[in-house]
Amino acid sequence: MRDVVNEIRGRGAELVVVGNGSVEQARAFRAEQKLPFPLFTDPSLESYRQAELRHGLSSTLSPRAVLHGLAAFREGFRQTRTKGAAMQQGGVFVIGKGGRLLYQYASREAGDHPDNRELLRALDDGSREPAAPAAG
Amino acid sequence: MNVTDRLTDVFVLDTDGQEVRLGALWQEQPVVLVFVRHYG
Repeated sequence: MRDVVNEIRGRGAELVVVGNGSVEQARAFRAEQKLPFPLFTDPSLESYRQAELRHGLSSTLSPRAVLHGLAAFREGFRQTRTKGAAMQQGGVFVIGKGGRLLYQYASREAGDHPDNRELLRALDDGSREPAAPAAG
Repeated sequence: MNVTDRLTDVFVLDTDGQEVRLGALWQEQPVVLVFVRHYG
């Protein structure tokens, strides 16, 4: 997992994970899992609404599945099976510096999940294009 | 309005309970933003 975080950081980017439990739950989870990236929480679910994860909690990813997906990437294969809280219908966004949307993942069926290589490619492609002009 | 525009002024909480504006996260660097269902 740290290898993939390093792949992202090697591209000058950061992995940001947003959950929706209490601050205490987020803090405990981050410590237990020794997550090497920022973890945030949004109990109001406003960010989920704005991201149009409109099927609500059922359409988002479990962090464990995210970690499984990252581990699968490190090992060089695309994860095809999951158990428990699977990486299923959810949302992942790759956002360029300044807010340009580079990649958006929306699953279409159970078991469908983002390919980490696509996320990294989006970062690579985004870095080759001129930055979007600042809004305003 | 695209999804990043809608998200940019939404505040989330860090693990210390401090409010963080999402847009601030991609102001200085690209980010891979993942929404999760729950912890664990």
